[in-house]
Amino acid sequence: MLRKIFFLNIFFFITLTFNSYSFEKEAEQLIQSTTDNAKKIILDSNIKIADKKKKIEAIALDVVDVDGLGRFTLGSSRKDLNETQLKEYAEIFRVFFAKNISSRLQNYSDQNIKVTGSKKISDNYVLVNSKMISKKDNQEIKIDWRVFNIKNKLVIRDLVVEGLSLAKTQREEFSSILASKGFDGLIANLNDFISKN
Amino acid sequence: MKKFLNTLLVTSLITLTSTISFSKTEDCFEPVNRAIFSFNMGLDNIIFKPVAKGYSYLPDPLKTGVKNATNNVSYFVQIPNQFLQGKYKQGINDTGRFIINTTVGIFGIFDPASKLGLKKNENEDYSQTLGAWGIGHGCYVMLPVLGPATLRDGVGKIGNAILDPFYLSTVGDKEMLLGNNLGDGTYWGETALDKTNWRAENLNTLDNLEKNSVDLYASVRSLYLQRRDYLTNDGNSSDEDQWKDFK
Repeated sequence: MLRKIFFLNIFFFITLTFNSYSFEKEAEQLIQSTTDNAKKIILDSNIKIADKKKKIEAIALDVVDVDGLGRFTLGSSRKDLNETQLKEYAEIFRVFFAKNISSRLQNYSDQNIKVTGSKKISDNYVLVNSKMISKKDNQEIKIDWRVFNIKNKLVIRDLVVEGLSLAKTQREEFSSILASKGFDGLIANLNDFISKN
Repeated sequence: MKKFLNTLLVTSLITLTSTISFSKTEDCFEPVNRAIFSFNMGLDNIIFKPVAKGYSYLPDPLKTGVKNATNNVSYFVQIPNQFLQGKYKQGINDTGRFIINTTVGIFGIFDPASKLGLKKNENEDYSQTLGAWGIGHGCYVMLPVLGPATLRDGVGKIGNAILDPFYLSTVGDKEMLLGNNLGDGTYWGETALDKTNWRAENLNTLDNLEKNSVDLYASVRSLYLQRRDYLTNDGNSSDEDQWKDFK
């Protein structure tokens, strides 16, 4: 009997370890394949700039939890908004995010992103570590990716470049606008950004 | 009298920093800070950015030499702070780098120390040391020309000057550099080259930030504070907790 319990314990331990290991490895693969795909598109001289933007936007919308990121960037103000406002914000934030991400990637040139490891933070949250290495001068920049398992799909919620979190920066930016101009002011600023990009 | 004033200044700084709160950094003077930020941005557009653009066209080996030499001068502040924070291994490493690069590397223009395996460490300054000793940022402030800082950084910047042998032997009247005083021009020239080099290296990054921000002032404030925390905590961040509890 004791022997059975012992083997059963070992079986559960191995299963749990394997599942955890698998989650981390899948998260690492997600980052490596996403960055490799994005790099191919950006460096492909046969693709027009407008098409590159569209393709990058499509990749970003597929692998990033834009709704979650949108809610995070609203911070505590989220609780003060009604359903209609939240819906309006979610729709505009989605467009804003896509425009923002494609605009940011235009300056990308000769860097390689290499996944170096990962750390499980909770059952559905893994921090994937990577390095961006410049071919020109071999300079290394540390980038961490916050990957979550949401409804059995791995998605990115934030990236942290040398300690600078994009989500946190955006949340503080939005919080500043909400404090000075209110919800309508934030929507107006986001729409202004969208129309210019 | 001068000694008395120095003692008074250091005592005041210690008293001031010990009263800085440990809580979240507040933007206590936001309207004034925003006005100074606009002024700084105007100055950047008219002077610093065009100069940095011109500088960026210089040959790479020349820019690398300037960067190496200004980095080498920063060891006068960096090394004491590594020891003050108990980072003895890094302090010994960077002392080695300083000696080798100043002599074999001709006043730091070349970096033979890296080729000998002595890797460059992250910068340390007196503000980071105060942070490592548990002193919080205090209010966020935007300084004219100098840019973003916190009360603790302001105190640190004073420390970076009055405890820096290079500053004391150039702008000050000491002769601590092999018995020489190099004059004010050496200090301001080195500072100008250091800042121009930094601005030139970040031309694209800052343009990108300006283009993609819906509130540039708030973005700069957030990025500055995150970066200072990252450096003070040696790359450890407390941000993960915000995501752990997020639904």
